[in-house]
Amino acid sequence: MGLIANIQRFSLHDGPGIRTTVFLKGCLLNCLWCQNPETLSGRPELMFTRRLCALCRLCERVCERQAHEFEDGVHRVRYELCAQCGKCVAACPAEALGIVGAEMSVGDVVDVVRKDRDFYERSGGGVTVSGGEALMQPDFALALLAACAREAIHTALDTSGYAPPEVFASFLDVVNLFLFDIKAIDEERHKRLAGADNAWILQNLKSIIGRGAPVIVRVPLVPGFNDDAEELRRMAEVVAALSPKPTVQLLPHHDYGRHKYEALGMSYRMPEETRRPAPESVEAAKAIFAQHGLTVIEEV
Amino acid sequence: MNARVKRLRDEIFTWKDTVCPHRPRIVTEAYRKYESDPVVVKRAKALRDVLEQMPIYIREGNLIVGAPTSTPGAWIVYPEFSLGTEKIVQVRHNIHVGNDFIRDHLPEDLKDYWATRNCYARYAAYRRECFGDRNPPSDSWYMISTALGHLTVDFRETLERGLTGVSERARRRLEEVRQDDPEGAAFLRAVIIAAEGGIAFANRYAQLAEETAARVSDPRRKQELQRMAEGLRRIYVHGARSYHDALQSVWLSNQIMHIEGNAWSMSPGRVDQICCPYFQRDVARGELTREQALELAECFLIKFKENSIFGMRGAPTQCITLGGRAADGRDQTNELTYLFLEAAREVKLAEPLIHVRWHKGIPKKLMHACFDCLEAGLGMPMFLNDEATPEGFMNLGIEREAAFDYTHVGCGELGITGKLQDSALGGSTGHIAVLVQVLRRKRSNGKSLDQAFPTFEDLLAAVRKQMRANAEHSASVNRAVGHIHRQFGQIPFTSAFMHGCIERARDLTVRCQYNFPSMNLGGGGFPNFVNSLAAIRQAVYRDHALTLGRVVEAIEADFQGFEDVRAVLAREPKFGNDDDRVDDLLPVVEQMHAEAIAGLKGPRNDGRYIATGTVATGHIDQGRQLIATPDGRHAGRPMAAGMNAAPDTDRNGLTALLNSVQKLNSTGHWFGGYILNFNILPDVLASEKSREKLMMALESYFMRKGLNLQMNCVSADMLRDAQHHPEDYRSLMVRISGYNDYFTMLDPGIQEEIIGRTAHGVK
Repeated sequence: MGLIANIQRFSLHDGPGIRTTVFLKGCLLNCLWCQNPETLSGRPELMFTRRLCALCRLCERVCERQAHEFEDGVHRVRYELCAQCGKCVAACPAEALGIVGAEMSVGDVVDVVRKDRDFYERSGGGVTVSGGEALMQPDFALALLAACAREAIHTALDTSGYAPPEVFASFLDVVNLFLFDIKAIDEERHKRLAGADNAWILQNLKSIIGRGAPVIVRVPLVPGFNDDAEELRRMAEVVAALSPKPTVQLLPHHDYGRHKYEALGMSYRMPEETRRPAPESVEAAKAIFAQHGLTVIEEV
Repeated sequence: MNARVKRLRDEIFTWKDTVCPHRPRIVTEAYRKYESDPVVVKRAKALRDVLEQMPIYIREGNLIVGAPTSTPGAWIVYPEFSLGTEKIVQVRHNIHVGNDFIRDHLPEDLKDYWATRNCYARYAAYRRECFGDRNPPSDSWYMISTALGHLTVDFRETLERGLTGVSERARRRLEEVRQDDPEGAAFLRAVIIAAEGGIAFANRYAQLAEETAARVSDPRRKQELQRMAEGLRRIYVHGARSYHDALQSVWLSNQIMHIEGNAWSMSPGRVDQICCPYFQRDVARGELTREQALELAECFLIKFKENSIFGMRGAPTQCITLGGRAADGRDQTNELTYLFLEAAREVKLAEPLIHVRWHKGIPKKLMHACFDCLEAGLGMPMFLNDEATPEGFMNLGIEREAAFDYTHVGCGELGITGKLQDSALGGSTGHIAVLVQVLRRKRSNGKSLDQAFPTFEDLLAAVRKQMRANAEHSASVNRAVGHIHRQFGQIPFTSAFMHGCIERARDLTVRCQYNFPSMNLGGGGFPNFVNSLAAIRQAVYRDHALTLGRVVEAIEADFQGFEDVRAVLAREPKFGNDDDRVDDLLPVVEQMHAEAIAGLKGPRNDGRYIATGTVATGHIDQGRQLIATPDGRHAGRPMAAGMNAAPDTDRNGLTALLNSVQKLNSTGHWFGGYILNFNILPDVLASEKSREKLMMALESYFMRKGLNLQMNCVSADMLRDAQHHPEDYRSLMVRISGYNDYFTMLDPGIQEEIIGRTAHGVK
């Protein structure tokens, strides 16, 4: 069984064509700007969207562990008490509560993926396994991708590359396209930004490209964190040294996911002023990669 | 849009509501004066008198003329149909002024004259006699208050030979039937009289244009007016000679039909097809630039809004249909297809609705032109499907050529140019309301509900029986309405533009070439019905989590004190998510509906009833009047419109919605069409790649025989509303790389950012 955060049909931006993106839960990295914080933990979690709460207190009534408190008209969630039983979610008429993380079998997931087969075939789409880091659940991810590949559904793996090289290599046979993130080249910087070094990442990238796997290198462009010319130049050098040279896709940073931090009882770590990069700095970044003979795309 | 067009457009929104007194006065005088004539002749003479006497106007700078009222934007009154004693128009369309307003503007003696003579009064009397106290479906009041509409006429004969051509054909036929068909002879005389009225009307506009030309100082406008006058003198006597003539002829004929009767959804149809030969001729002769052609198209489109039958704030009921493929498979996209789309995008008005016929050979360039309109916030075009719709028509026995000449009529239904009367006036089987009725009635009988319906099949059987009873009643009411229209609501001018009428020497109210009255599947709320059945089946009959009795108590209390019941019901699977736990009921419901309408006799004594899943705005009104429903919907909340998922219940995106809808038997059951809308954020259209993916999503759906799709690019105003009423917009999805979320969940600051990038909608 796998722990699934979300299955997103009609995904337009996670690989070629119309895709179904399966977000698995759990990630070893902890990037400061993460826009899917609900996928970080490898366990189910309660999410509470305060703006939708009607203060009806039905959750308080059904909760056996007193995880919902109401004081002076304020709904406070004690996440540490929650056992993810889901009773409050079922009771909530405002859909302010949710559990992220559902146990599903490979068959369950493939049943959903299969439904849009006609859309994939016409648009050149397929399934994208994403996360979190899908390789945190390597057996499940491998079985899922293999099952899709057996049904001739195009498979993409959206990965941080942060996994033991022997595990990573086992995916080569079942993945038609790797969407491979590079966040920083400088090791210290990578540790600071993503919570771990990038040795596995660079090794895995080099290894799969060397073995002929189709790869799109995806670079999140985070203003003030990794978009200085020096860092980008070093990234471009590393990517350009690969053979064959992979296509590079720039992912301008956004902060659409910030509300999820509050919903999960976590704190948002990015500075308030870090929003989307200006179009000029996206263009400048593009130019740096292009100067190194790389093909840079904005969309797949 | 140049300055002239912009002014013509913007001025519309400054007009105040008024009532035009001339038509009701002239018609009343005519009915008195020609009392001894056959009714159809009397009606033609009344029309002619209005066309000869009603004051007319030409707006400064306009290039297309013709209006149903003496002042711009005024309400037009049809006392011979109804005086507005019913409030149906008002309620349905949320119009601030309505029938009360109209009635207040009419003189007492006029009201006295019509009180017992108009269609409405005659129907009321007939109803009392035939149906006693039993309340007919509310639609019948609307049906009887309007003339027969919901069709697309064929303008081609008039374009080619003018109204004189129509008149000559009627005269020849009259010679043949004069001796032994007095009813036919009366109808044909009426056509000839009505055509005379039309010619007089065009000549009056010509004269006004000449008088205005003599007065204006701007030499360019003077010349324009002189040219317009020449065209207006030509179009009905000799036929159209230019693209400008063609647009003018189509528009004026369309307006005369709106003066003749107050039918809704009388649309000009495939204007790019019918006007293209004239356009090409002008261009070949070097007499027309693209810029001029665009300006004329814009002036043409603005007329729809200027003379909307429901006033400036009314619901749109007219449309144009563009593109498509011919019966031989040829792509019919032409220069005008693009030109009209561009014009629509520029004038950005809610009326006319724009429809584009999709087919597998549709040029990519045309798809991009459509997406440009969507991205600009037009909310249109809506796509119709040539890979399914003609097949459905042919399954009904309609000949191939005609089936491929289909159009949209404006409200929600489909038409065939000049050949099909598929009126929405067929009534309704009722749906979700039937279920509620069945559940509540059993309870009032004293027997426990759960005893009355021990199995889900027992409940279905009761609903089926009630639906059939409703359909039978609808059909008999419909025949009553048809009977009265045939005697008192004839429309000879409109009939002359429909195939089969002059040939058979019978008015359209008797019949035209193809007649298939459509029975709406409950109007709004089809998905609510399916969802309610699925929720009851699961929660009551499978999980035994609720009793039927408790469900009814809960819906009667609008879930107050029954929040737990609602939580269970609302969580059950919903149509639009590609979930077979609810979608497996679709064939069951289709079968139920097919049985309800099987063998029913139509209002014009032939044609079988066909199913439609269309509704323009009725779902809001129906929702307002209905208590809470077992799908978890609260009392008074809107129903789902057409085949849309019930508000706020489709959470799996476009492909899932399309898969659900595609499970319907589109070419074997939904002959009358259905509507389907999907909201997208404009970001999806911003890039070439996304657009191509969207095109493929459409292709997948349409190649699997989906009938219709409207993708509505949400407007800034809608997103504002979503901020304040997140419960109504839960399915609105934001999609960017590696991230998807519902708009309503986003941080308000981010919502603002998205709103800032979003275009404003149409007026």
